[in-house]
Amino acid sequence: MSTVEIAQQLVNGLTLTAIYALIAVGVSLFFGAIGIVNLAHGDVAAFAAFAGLGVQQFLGAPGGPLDLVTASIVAIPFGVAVGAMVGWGLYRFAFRPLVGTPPVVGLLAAIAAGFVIREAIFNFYPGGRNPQPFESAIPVVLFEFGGVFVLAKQLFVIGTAVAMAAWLAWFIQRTRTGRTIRSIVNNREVAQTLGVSVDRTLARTFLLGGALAGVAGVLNGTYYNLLQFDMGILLTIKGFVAAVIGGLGNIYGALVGAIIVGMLEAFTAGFIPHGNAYKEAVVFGALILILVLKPNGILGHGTVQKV
Amino acid sequence: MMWRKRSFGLALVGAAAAALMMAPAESRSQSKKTYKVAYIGPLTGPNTSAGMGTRNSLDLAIKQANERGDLPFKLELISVTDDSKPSVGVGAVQKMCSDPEVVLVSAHWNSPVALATGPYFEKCGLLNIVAGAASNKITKEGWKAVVRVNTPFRYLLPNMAKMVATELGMKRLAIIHSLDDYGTDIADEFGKAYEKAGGKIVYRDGYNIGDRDFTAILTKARTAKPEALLHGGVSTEAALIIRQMRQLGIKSVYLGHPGFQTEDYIKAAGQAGEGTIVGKLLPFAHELPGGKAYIEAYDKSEYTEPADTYGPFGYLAGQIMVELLKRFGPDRKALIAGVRSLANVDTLFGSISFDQEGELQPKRIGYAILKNGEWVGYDPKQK
Repeated sequence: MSTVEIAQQLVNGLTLTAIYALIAVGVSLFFGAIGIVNLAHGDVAAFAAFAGLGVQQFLGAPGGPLDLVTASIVAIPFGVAVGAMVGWGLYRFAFRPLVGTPPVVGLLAAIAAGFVIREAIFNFYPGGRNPQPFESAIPVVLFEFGGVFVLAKQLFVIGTAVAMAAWLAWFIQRTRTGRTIRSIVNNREVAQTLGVSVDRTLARTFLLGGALAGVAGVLNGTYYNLLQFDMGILLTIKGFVAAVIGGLGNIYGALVGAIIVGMLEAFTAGFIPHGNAYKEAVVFGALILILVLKPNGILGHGTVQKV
Repeated sequence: MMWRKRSFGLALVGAAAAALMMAPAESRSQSKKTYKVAYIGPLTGPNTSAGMGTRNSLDLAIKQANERGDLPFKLELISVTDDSKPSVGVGAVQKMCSDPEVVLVSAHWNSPVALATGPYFEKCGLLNIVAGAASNKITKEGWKAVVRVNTPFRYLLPNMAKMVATELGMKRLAIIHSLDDYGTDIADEFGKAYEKAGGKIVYRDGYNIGDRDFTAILTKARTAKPEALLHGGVSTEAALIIRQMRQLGIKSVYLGHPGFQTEDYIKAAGQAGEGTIVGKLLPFAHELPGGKAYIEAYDKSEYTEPADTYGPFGYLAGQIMVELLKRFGPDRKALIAGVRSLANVDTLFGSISFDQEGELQPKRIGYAILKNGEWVGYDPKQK
């Protein structure tokens, strides 16, 4: 295991971390705000990516108004906007009517929403049942730093995720909407007493989380250049595990969890002989270990109820 | 005497009238008699293009036989999807089993589905002429009710491995494969023959089905400096792997199996897929003895989907169905008992027969390379 090999897997792991983090933050935010584990969140990302693909195929088609590269750039904000709208739609039509019901009902609604999104892509997106190529706005350029290979795309994915995380921290800490979201996450009843509109704040939380999922979706497409109707399942699982490891309800915890998941995957595949087969087992093993040692996750706080 | 003559004449007229009345009735009842044959395959899901091409070609062979009046009854083709899923496939086969008018089936493009339904065909005594699923195990289970017209991997892979090591002279190979039986079998069979032919496997690793990120194992593979990289897995992951390989600057020749040779792979792999070499379970259609007539008939037909790579196997299965019914009649038991004795049948593939395992003889293979967005024939000798 040389330094170059370690650095190489670090780059690989950071790229995975970037995508997982954007999903994990949304999962964590929703849980903190409404107490629902949104297992459709990765599917929102997939839907946003397919929306971006639609822009590419519609505007960037031969004879279309834009060339493919410009259409690929336009596809990014469009995908993010669609992600935000789907996130909001999920709240408005799936979760809002369930406020006050037992958490398991919300969980089932999320699973159902995930199925609906996947089946919608599968059945209604032209050719959606087959893998669809996603044109990358970032050209394939490979840099070499002392034997470590880094793709321009990887820098783009990591850079975008870091910028989004920094913006999110500012947004949550410094803006009025961010403060109302925090107040609801901390104590909904007190926030309501102080005049915070819970409904409006929750809608904005889902809008924000959906937009972050949209970013994750288009980054995923940009990096892998291929979309699949069911790619959201894996994103949900990884994002959820990262959020739980970091502490559900804590966005900084979600970031820490994503780093752990991304790095464990890359290093298991990179350094354990035939480890690629066991990377999921290692990640879930880490999850169990952390939950045993810190039941609320690394940065989570709160009480554990023992029945 | 007079009376006898008259009565004889009356009887003759009566018999003639009765014959005249009976004949149309009999021919009417014969023309009405229809037996069903079925295609079960991926008519939905990720392998739809292969399924549709096979189904349409089988349908073409049946329709031609009906038009020519090859059989004393009509054949009707029923098409049912297995969605590339064993559970769906089993349900479809059970449905065919319980319909007594279904006399023959050609089922499954995906090996796991064919392996799951084999016992059902065997139990209900309905013959399945597999036209697509290539796992070695399908004809190794001792199922009398299952035969196969496509070439199995155990014939293709060793020949291809030998070709890579000797004719292409590539002695350093990396193998990446899915960790199910399908991918592992491809890796094992190819790898064994490759080493026997003097090649060296410099890297081998597996992945779980559904993975999208292969950078960790590909960056490891790159350090082993392989001249070629074999992928044993389905075409979705194949497209992801070749894209990530080329992005990471890995220039090794990408080798695959027949499952890659689809329009979907060309689209999904994009420019990165150029130069992919695949082993084929059959030569290109135009290279087959009856290929020209088949291509012309398919092009003239009403089918909107392309025949796809596996189309000729569907057509061959249809031709064999007709020949079996001609020789043994629409009797499920007789068809199973007789299929292995079928010999000297003139088909799209020339004169064919089945061995005792139920494999088609003689076997044919070919190679293809992806060039300018199109699969074209590849002759290793003219490399």
